[in-house]
Amino acid sequence: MALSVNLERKFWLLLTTVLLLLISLPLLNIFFQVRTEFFTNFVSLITSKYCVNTVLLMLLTCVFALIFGVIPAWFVARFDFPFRKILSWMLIIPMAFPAYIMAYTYKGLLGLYGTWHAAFGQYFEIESIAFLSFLMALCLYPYVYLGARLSFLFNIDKYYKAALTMGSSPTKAFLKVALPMSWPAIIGGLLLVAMEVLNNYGAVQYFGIRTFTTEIIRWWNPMDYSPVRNISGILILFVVIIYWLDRKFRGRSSFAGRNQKSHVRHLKLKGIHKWAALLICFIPVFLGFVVPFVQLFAWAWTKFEVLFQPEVFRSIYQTFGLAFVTALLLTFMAFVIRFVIRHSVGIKWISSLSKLAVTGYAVPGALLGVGLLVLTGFVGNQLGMSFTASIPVLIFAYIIRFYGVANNTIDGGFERLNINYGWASFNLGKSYSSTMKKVHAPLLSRTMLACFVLVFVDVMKELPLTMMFQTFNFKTLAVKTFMLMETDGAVYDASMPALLIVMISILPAYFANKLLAS
Amino acid sequence: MEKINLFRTLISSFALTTLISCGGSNQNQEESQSEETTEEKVVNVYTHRFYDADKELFAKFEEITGVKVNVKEDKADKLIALLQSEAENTEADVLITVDAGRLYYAKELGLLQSVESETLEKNIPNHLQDPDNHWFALTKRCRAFMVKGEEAPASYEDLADESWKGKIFIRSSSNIYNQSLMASIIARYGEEKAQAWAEAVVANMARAPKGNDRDQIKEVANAEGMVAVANSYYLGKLLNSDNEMEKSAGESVRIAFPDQDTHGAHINVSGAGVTKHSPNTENAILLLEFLAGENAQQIFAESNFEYPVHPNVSPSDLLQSWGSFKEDTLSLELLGKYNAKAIEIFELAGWE
Repeated sequence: MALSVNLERKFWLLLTTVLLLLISLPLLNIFFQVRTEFFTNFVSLITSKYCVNTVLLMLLTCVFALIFGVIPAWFVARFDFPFRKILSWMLIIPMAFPAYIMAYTYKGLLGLYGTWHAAFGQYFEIESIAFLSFLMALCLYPYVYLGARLSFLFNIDKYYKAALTMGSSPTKAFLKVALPMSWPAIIGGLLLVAMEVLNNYGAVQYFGIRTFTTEIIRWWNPMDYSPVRNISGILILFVVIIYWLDRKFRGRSSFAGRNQKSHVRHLKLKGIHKWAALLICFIPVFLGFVVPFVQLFAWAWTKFEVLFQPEVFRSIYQTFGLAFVTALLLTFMAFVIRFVIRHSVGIKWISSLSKLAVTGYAVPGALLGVGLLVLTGFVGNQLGMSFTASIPVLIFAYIIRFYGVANNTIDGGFERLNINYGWASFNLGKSYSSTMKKVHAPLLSRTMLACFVLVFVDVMKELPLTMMFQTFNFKTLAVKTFMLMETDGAVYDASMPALLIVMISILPAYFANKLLAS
Repeated sequence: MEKINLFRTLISSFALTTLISCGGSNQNQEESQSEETTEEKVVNVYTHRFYDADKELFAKFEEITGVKVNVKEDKADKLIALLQSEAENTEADVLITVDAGRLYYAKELGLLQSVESETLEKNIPNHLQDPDNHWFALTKRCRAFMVKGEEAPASYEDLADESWKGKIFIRSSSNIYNQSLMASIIARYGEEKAQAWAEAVVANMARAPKGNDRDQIKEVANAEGMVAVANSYYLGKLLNSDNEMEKSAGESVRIAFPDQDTHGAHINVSGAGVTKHSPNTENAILLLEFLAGENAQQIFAESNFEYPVHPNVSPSDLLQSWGSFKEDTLSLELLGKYNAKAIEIFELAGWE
C-alpha cells in the first residue's frame, strides 16, 4: 500500500509539473528571445522615463488600493452599521470595470465637453499619473479587499478577541494583531494589483503615460521583434523583483493555529461612528461603481435597442460561458498545484516553476499571445491545421494569463491553513487525491470561491488574447466594447456593452459573498 | 458550507466546454470538411476595421453571391502575427487593414498574394494599389488640419514655424496615423529634415500628447487660434456625436487640407489583400471586387465619413461640403518602408 501511495504522489507531482510547463512555455519563449543587446542597453532602459513612470504608477496605485481595500474590509468584517451587508458585496463590484473603461468614463465625465462641463461650465484635465493611479486603484482594490476581508473574518478571530479581552481598544487590536496577521493576504492582493498595472495598456495609453507596456506596443514591428523582446526582458525582471520583495515581506509563513468557522460577532457601532463607517465603506463603492455605472447608463440610455440585437444575446452567453469554464478550470488547477507544491518539501524546482508561470499575469496580453502563437504554430505545422481560432486554445491562453491570480489567491488560503492537516492525513496513509478531496477542498472552499470570482471577472474583461484567439464571428462583450470605442474615439457607443460586462459580473460577486459570509 | 463535488463539477465543466466549442467553432469544422471537394461557399476575413457598416456590406455580399463571410477582428499587427504563425495552414482568405504601412509589411513578409483582376484595376486608381497587385485600397482618409477661424497652416512644414508656437494639438507618436505621416515626410525630405521638423513641432505643441484625434479637435474648438492634426473622419464623428456640446464644438471647427499648393495632402488608406495561403482564393477575389464596386463604395462613402476610392463614386454630402482637395500621390508603400524609421525619429525628437 505504501508503494501505491508513493506512486500516486508521483503522479500528482508529474501532473503538476506538466501543467506548469505548459503554462510557462509561451513565457519561456519570450524569455529566451532576449538577446545580448538587452544587457548592454540595460542601464538606459532602467533609467528611462517609461521605467520611472511604471514604478510610480505601480506604487501609487498600490497605496490607494491598500487604503480602499483594507479599511472598508476591516469595518465590514468586524463591525455592524447600516447597509453593512449590501456594502460587503458591493465593495467587490468595481473590479468588473476594465481599467480603460474607467479611464474613458471619467474623462467623459470630468473632461472637456463632458458631463460636468455641460452641467457646471467647468472641466478638468485628469491625465496625470496621480489621477490614473487613483482610477486604477478604484477598479483593482477588490483584490486586496477580498483577501483582507477573508482574513479579518476567519483568521484573526481568536487572537483579535483575545486582544480585546485583555483590554485593548478595537483600533489598537486592529493595528497590532489583525493587520500584521493579515499581512500575507493583503500583500497577495497588492501583488495582483501591481501586476495589473504593469500589463495595462488602454488606460495608460489614453492618458498619454508611457510605461513598459506602451513601449512594447510602440516598438512593435512585424519585421523585427527584437526591441519588443528587450523591453519584455526588463518587464519580466520587474516581475521577478516584485516577487522577491513579496517573499521578503511575507516570508514563508504557515500557521499552526486552528482554522475554525467561528461565529463572528459584529460589534454594533453607535452614533457618529456608525455613520463614519458607512461613509468610509461607501466611498470606494460610490467612486468605483456608482459614478461610472450611472454615467455609462446615461450614455447608454439612447442606445437601448442595441440590447435586443440577437448577436448581443449570443455574445452574453458566450462571454459568460468562457468566463465560467475558465474560472472553474483554473481554480481547480491552482488548487491541485498549490497542494502538491506545499506538500512537496525539498523539491525546490517545482516552486520556481510556479513562480515562472505566475509572470504571465504581468506580461501584456499581446505579447503573451505572440508567445503562445509560437506554440500553436509549431503544433499546427505538425498537424497541418490552424489552432488560432478555437475555444480550447483561447481558454488555454486565459489559463496562462490568469494563472497568477488563481495561484496567489489559493496560495493565500493555503498559507492560512494549518500545515499539519496534510501531514496528519498522509501519516494515516491517505493518498493525495483523498486528502485533497476530503480535507483541503472543504477547508479551502471559501478561498476557491474567491479565486473563482476573481478569475471569472478577469476573463470577462480580457481583451488582447480574446481578440487574437477568438473564433470567427465570435465577440465577447469586452471585445465589442473595445471595438465600438476604437472606431468612435469616444466611449458613448461602447457604454451599453460596458454596462453589460459590469452587470454580469455582479452575479458572481453577490453569490460569492453570500457563501463566503455564511 | 456544502462540499464541492470535484468530480461532478469537472464533468459538467468539460461538458460546457464542449458545448461552447461546438457552438463557436462550427465554421472551422465546416471548412475543413469541404476542403477536399471544391471551394466551400465561405470567405474568411481578418480585419482591423471595426465598423458596423462593414457588417452590412458583408451581408449584402452574401445575399448576392451566396458566399458566407466569416470575420475575425483584431489590430493589424496581431493579425499579421497570426498569419505568420499559421503559415500554410491559415484559414484566412482576406486581410484588411486601416493603414497602408501594415499592408506593406504584410506583403514584405510574404503573407499576401498577387491578384489579377480587371475589375480591381478599373475601380481603384493606380496610386492606391500595390504595384505588384498584392493589396488594394478600399477607402481613403486625409490627415488634415482642424482649425477654428481663418488662420490655418498651409502645409505640414508650416507646423514647424514659430508662429504656431503653443498652438498645436496632435496625438502621440505611438499612433500609426502619425507614424505614416512621418514616413511620408521622411520619404520626401529625408531623415535629417524630418527630425528637425519633428523637433520643431514638439516645441510648438500646446501640451504633451494625450488622448486620440477626436480629443485634439475638441481642444481646438475650446480655444482660439489653435490647430489640430487629425484624420478627416473624426470631424464627421464629432459632428454626429450624441453629446450636444461636442456637436457644437465640431460645428465651430473647419477642416483645412495641407499642402494644396505643393504636393497635396497626406492620405492613408484602408485596404485589403488576399492571403498567400488562402483556402478560398476565388471567393476572396470576389469579395475584393465587390468591395471595390460602386455599390459597396457608395456604402463606404455614406457610413463612416471616409472617402471612397472608386473614381465614379462621390463622397458623402458632408465630405463634399468640406471641399475637394489635392491628395499626395506619394507611393503608399513608403508609408510602410519608413515606419520603423519614423518611430525612431519621433523618439529622438522627444515626441511622446
